[in-house]
Amino acid sequence: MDTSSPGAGEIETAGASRRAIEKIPTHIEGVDDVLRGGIPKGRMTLLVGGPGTGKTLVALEFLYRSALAGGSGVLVAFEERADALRRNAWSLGWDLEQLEKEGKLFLLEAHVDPETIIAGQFTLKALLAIIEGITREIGAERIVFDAIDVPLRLFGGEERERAELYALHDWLVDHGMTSIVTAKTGEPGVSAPPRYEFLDYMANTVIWLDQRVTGQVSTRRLRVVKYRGSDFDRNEYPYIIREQGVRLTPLTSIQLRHQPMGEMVSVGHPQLDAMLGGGLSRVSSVLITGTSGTGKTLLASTFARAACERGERVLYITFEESQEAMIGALRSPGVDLRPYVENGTLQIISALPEAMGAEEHLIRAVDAITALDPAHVIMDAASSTERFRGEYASFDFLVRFINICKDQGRTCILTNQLSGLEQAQQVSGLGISSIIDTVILLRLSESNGELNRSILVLKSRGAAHSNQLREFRITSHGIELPEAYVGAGGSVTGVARQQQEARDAAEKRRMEQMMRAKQAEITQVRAALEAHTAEFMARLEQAQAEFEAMRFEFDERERAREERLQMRGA
Amino acid sequence: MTEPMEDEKTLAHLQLFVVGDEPHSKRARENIVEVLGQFEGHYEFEVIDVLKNYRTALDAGILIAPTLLITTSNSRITIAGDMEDRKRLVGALKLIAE
Repeated sequence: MDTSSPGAGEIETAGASRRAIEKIPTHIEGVDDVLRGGIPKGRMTLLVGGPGTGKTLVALEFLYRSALAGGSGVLVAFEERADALRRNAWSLGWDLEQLEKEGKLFLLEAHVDPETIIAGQFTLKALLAIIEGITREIGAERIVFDAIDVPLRLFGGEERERAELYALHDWLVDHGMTSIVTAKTGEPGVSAPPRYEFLDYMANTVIWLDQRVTGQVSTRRLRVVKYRGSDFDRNEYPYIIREQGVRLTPLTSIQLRHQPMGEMVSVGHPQLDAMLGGGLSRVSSVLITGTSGTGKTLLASTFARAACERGERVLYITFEESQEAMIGALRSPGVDLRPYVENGTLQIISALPEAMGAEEHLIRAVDAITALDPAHVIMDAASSTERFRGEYASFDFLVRFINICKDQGRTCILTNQLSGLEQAQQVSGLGISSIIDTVILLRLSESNGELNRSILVLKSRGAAHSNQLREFRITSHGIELPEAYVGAGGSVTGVARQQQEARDAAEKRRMEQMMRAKQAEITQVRAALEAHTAEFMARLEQAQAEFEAMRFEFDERERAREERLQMRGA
Repeated sequence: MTEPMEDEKTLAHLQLFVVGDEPHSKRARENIVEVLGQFEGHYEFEVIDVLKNYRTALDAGILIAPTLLITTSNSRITIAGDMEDRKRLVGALKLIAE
């Protein structure tokens, strides 16, 4: 064991870094790109993340895809039942049983019987001997230890845990095994629990999986934090778990696969078209964002009406109200959608977000798209997707929905309902901003005792859009954009100068608005930081308290068992 | 637990899972042999080396070594460790003997 002590391993890998390190692919979409080829061959890769981040799935996908490619592997499951793994895999379309039959995969359920009486010191060597037997039998070169923190708890002491881990690591290196070891982290942003820090140190490669809530929408992210002897991509990548398995979405590369944006089409309002630099591009994705009552639905419907007038079919998915209520409500601002519904150019489907899970919502949407074959698809409000059943569904859903629209060459218009607290800059709150081409912000602001709506085009890819904040009025005959303020009685100073003054004033107002918004953002981020810190402290304290309670209970049980044994024995 | 003791010879089947001759396994074996002296004739004792016979360990779900499996017609007790804590070993054996 001395010859392969961690110190010796360190020197060896340092030497290896000068040569090119040998890698084997994980076969997981996107992951090998980030790792510049794969995980280090014959070395340990640590996969850490909080509960629900998909650690087991990522590790299992590595074995599954490798097995399909001909390389056999063993999964040592310390936490999950083999049957549950088979079932979960089956739901992703992976037939593990077939691979097990073929000797390409072995699922080893490694659970220590909780009734086991401890009478002295022990090691995990029996497990290693079993694994050695299996790996020899099926010729496995890949191994996954899933939830290594579970067996380590048996040892109840950092030094012994460390000794066991080193023995395990030495065994893996001695046998030339390429391994992925998964471990739970405590909280996002925190590394492995302090006592497992040496796991970080032992592993050649460390990958973090993280699940975080941004703007009320949960996203999963993957980041390589360490790769000894290799270059790697240090960025964070959102990933989704879709029907075929894990998929990283380096969003920029997805972008490339899409159909190019098409010609400009009118949004149904000449001044708005002008603000947008000519209108909206076909096949683009558009986000209309704003607080309640700013006119998001009206703007989306104005666009829908214009498209229907041109004879282009539109699918309008609303999570807000029924078709009747929506059509009725739009009449007072002068948008009558009924004729288009009746002649079939417009289809409105309404769904209660809570009624079903994201998968079902997506299937319904895709079915409706397939049936209608619309040129444009509107979703009102995309932010409602966070009310879908299933905790982490929203981000996955939106990315997939937008991608489907883009792949099929349809314009995709989403509305985003901001809560009052959020600021304009938070349009990225849905976590999808990088696949959105155009962002239109609608605002409601109070000045001089008046409530005013305003509109701003925050970005529009490939269009020379206006960056001016314009007043946005809702009248009985639809949207009106009054000209930017021009003072009355302008005959004296001349039109050109007057316009220049108005522009200056508007620019000043815009900057003031932006500064106010930025200031509000700073306040909000600071408040959020403080709230988070307090929350994490509370969670830490709670976890510690729970751990103490568990240990107390454990000790009590052990003592009771011992007493029972002694009483019976006496 | 109150089986009639008509058969005095083999009350239980003892299987000790060891890993070669690593120290914990050796100590466990010594401790068990010594303790069993008190219960002579009552137990069948078998030592299984996981290095040579991993299948038996796999089927029995033995991950840690040394582990002693005590099997009777109606119960199974698992004791892990080098058995330096003899009280527990003796306690378990007495439990079976009752």
